Amino acid sequence: MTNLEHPSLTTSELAHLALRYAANDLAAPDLHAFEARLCDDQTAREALAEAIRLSAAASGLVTPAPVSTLARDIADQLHPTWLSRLLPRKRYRGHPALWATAGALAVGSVSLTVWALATPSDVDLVQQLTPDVVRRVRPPEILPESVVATRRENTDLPLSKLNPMGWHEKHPNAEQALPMASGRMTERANATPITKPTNKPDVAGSDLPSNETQPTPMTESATKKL
Amino acid sequence: MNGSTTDTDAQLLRLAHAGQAGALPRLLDRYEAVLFRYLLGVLKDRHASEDVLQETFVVAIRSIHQAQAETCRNWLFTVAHQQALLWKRKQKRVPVLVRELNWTERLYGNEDDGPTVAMSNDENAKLHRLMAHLPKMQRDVLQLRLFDGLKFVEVAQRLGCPLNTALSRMRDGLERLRTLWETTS
Repeated sequence: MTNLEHPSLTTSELAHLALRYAANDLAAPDLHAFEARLCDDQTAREALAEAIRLSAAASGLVTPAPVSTLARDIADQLHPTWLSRLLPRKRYRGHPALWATAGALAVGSVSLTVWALATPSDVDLVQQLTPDVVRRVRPPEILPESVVATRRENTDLPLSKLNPMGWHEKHPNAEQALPMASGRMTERANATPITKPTNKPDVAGSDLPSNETQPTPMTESATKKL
Repeated sequence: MNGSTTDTDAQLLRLAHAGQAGALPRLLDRYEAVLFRYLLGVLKDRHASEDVLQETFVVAIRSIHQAQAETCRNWLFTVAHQQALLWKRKQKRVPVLVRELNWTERLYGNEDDGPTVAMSNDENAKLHRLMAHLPKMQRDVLQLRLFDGLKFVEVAQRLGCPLNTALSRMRDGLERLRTLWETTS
C-alpha cells in the first residue's frame, strides 16, 4: 500500500494516483487515502482534474464541460426573479405543472372514452328490448282531443271514463264506494274552469296579455336610488 | 471597480455577489471547466457534477467574505470538494445507482447514458485507427486497459514492467491520443 499521506509524493506519483483514481483502479485503502488527500491537497485536486481531462481522450470527448446554461442557473439562484421563484428551473425534462396538466388530460380523455363505450346508445337500448319488456313499458294511451274536451265540459262521466288507465277495473266498487269523491271532482271542475289565455288586451293601451301581471309603477324612493 | 479583464478572482466573486452582469461569466470562464473536471473525478457522475458545480458557485459567491485574494483558486476547490462530500452524504441517505466513470464502459457504451458517454461504432473505429499511430508500448497499455479491461497492476504484470512505468505509458498515450483526436476532428 502506498503511503499517500506522505508529503514527499512527487508530482508524477500524484498524477499516477489521480489517473488510477479516475479510472476506478485503486484498491479500497488507497482509494480512501487519496480521497482524504483531496480534502486539503490542492496539488492532488489539480492532478485529478488533469487525469479526467486526459481520460476524456479515451472516450472521444474533447473536454468534459458542464451545460451551457450554468451561468443563467447560478444567476437565477443568486438573484431570483418572481418568475424564477414561481417556476424554478430544474434539469429534468418539462415542468411538474406541465406533467400534471398532461396527466390530467390523459386521465380525462381515458375516462371520456370509457364512459362513451360503456353508455349504450338509443339504438342499442331498442335492440336490447324484448317484446315482453316492450309490453311492460308501453306508453300511456294518448286520448284524442275530442275526448279530452268532453271530459273538461262534462265531469259527470263515470269514473271508468275519467280513468283511461283502468284502475277501476281493479277496484270495481270504487264508484259505489266513493260517490262523494265523484261529486267533489265535479264541484272542483265547475269551480275552476280551464281557461285558455287570450292575447286580447284587457287594459286600454296595454299590449300585455291579460294573464300576465302588470308591472308595478316605480315608487318615488326607488327612482331616487337609481 | 468596473470589472476589467485584470480583476482578481476575489474581485470577480465580489462583483458577482453584487449582481454585476459581466462578473459571473468571466468567473465561470476561469474555473468552470477545471472545477467540473475535478467534480467529475470525485463524483464520477456527469449530472451530479453539474448540479454540484452550480451549488459550488452559488455558495462561493454568497460566502465571498471568507475568500482571500491570493488563495481564491484553492478556496474554490475546497468549496467544490465540500459540496461534493455533501452530495455524497445525501446519496447515502437516498441510495441512487451512480454509474462509475469506467473507461471500458464508456468505450463500449451505456445505452441509458446517451451519446455523450457511449461511443458510437464510428468513434470506436476512429479510436482504433488513432491508436495505430501510437508507439507500441503506449498502444499495448491502452489496449489492455481500455479494451481488455485489465487493472493497471495486471497490465504491468502482463507487460512485465513496473506499475509506475505502465501508468506513465498510459498517461503519455492518452495525451498523444488526445492531440491526435483534436487534430483529426
